[in-house]
Amino acid sequence: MLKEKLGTTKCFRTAWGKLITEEEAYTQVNRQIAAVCANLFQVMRIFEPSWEKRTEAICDIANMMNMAVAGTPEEQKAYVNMSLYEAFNIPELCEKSSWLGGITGDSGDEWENMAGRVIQFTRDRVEKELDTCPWDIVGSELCNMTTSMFTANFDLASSNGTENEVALNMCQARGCGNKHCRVVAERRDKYGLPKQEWLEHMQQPVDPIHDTPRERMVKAGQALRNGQYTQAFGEETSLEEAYHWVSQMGWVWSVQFPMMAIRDMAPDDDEFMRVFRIVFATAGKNQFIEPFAKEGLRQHLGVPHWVDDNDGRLLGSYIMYMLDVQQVPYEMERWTEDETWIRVKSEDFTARYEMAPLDELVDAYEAQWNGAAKTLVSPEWSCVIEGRDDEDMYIKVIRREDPRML
Amino acid sequence: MLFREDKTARLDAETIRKSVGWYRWTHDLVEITGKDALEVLDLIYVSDMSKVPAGKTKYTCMLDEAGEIIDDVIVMHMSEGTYWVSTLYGPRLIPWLEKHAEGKDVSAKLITYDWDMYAVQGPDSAKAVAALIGEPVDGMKRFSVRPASVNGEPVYVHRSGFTGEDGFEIYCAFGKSAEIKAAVAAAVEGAGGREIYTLEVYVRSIPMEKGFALKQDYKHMNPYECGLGWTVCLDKEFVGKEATLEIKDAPRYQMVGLEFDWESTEDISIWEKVYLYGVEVGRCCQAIYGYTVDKNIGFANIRAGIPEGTRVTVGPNGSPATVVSKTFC
Repeated sequence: MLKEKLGTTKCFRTAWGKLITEEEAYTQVNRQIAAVCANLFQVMRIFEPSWEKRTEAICDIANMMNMAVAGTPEEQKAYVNMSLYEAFNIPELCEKSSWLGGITGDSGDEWENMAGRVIQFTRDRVEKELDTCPWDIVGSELCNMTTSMFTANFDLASSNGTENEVALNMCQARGCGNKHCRVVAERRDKYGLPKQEWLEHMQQPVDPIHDTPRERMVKAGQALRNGQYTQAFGEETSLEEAYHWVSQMGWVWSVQFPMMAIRDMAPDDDEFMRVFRIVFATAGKNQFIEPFAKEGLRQHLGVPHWVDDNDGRLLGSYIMYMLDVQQVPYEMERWTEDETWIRVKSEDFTARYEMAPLDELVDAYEAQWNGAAKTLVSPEWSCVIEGRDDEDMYIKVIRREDPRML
Repeated sequence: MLFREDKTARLDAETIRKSVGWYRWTHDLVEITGKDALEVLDLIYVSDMSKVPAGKTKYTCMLDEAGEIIDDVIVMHMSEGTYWVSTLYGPRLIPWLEKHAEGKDVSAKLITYDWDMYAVQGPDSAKAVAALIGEPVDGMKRFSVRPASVNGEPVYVHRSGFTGEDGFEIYCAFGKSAEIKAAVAAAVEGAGGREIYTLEVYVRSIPMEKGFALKQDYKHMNPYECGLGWTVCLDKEFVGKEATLEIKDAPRYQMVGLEFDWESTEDISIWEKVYLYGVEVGRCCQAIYGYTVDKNIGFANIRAGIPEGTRVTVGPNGSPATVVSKTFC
């Protein structure tokens, strides 16, 4: 009997008709946000040469902002019970205690395709091990920064208001080249440990760790492997929900939070933006410097052979792909061999998470895509973003002479 | 995860199996009252609730229209016309009940934060509870509930549990929880037992060994597909009955046990894929170490018809396992 219907799966179509699956797009968005974060951290390293000072600064801001999402200080005290009640059916939830903070950390990890496992989850000790991390290219400042965010999770879950009872250590980190990431929380009173400062969160735990051997490690998070994340005590998040969450919140914690501190490291806003744009422009030029990188993109997007190497639609279709991956809605206004115009609502582009607009994304992507135009297509081509202060803005790939190219 | 060499977890498991242990265990409680309460409960649950007199309790399932389990609960008939439903999903139960109670005289109220609960579980639990409430409990049948007092504070004693051992649940007013906790601890210690510390032991490992699953394990399953057909009363109407009758005759899946070959289960998360000759045939609900059986075990929902003894693999690294009964001991 002939097949009566084709199977269906969620995907989007590239400008050239190739289908990109939801799983592929979800993988890509995690890595893309990490790439922007990595560029931003280069800006930080230029402005603040001291590893300690810059790390402390981003830890401070990330912790403060993570606490702020829970609301006022009074609301923070009730946060775990109020906000997580629906999601986490843990018997002990009625008894607030820091160790419950480990649960929120686990779900965030898996949603962001940081694949791993909870090794231990007891009242005295929580151990979480990761095998992969899309942000592993950024550097150890970010690993430290995440400990300040975990601190907030544990603070919000603590029994005595908003100050946790644990020593929290990321004793291994993929961003430092370790085989695993590993975060261990041990009760200070049980283990006789002191309260920690921001730069003291990468020490070794007291109890021995469990090191998963390479042959048992996993390469993808639960959402990719199984179509959903399921937390041990019941909460479930589908691949779709996880993808959407990352598309909003990934930008907030890993780009917006540190951005607030990094802007303060620059002498002034103009100097910040000057360096910021230079870094992103360089990243863009390097994206397609090798012929095989261009060939790889053509294959990935399904660019037909009749589209020649000096056709601006190569970049136009890459930008469309990136907007689709990032779940940013857009409309095509022009799509010819001479120009690509993409209309995007300015708010959709900058405010991936409505509460936290990120205007710097316009500068970042304009600089990066303009840089990419030079190598993916040719120096005759540029990318400009016009109308960023209007309701709609236009991402244009056009032929333009640029005697002061960055 | 639990590991073979975890001494605290092993001691916790042994205490429940061989002596008596206590732990605080809270789930949602929904109080249902009104003259039509029984009628509505009978509609949303698969069991014959009219056969549960005051002072008795009943384990049962709630289905959606497709016949799939959306909750499994214990309905406790506390006094004439007043029921408590013990569920992990109270806020979701109430709108579901209200949807099926249109025009009926019934009201549902979440009382989770009014009542705390301590579980006393193990072969010596009757001795501990008798000491706790100052009177013998030998006459109490399993799945019965009655009022009692602890140091003058009113409590309810429910002979039940989630361990497969003899056991009791002590319900007390939340405001008196600290006093009751101290009394429970003393009574259990007096009976030769101790507090149970490891959440995964009493939520997962111990119940799984005896074939007790959590609601999320039953996802997309009908009672007839996961060994809960005995809860279903086909002599009455209930939500999901039509679909249930179809599935009863031709089950699509079956819930089975898995025994894993390897020492640990690091690459098996919840809902991991199960493969037979490389073809996906179902999902592993969860894998965990069982200290009584001294093995890594798990529940899986797989295609109907795959017999016990079949060799399968689980997860991204092909963890080998054998299909067995879901009651491991």
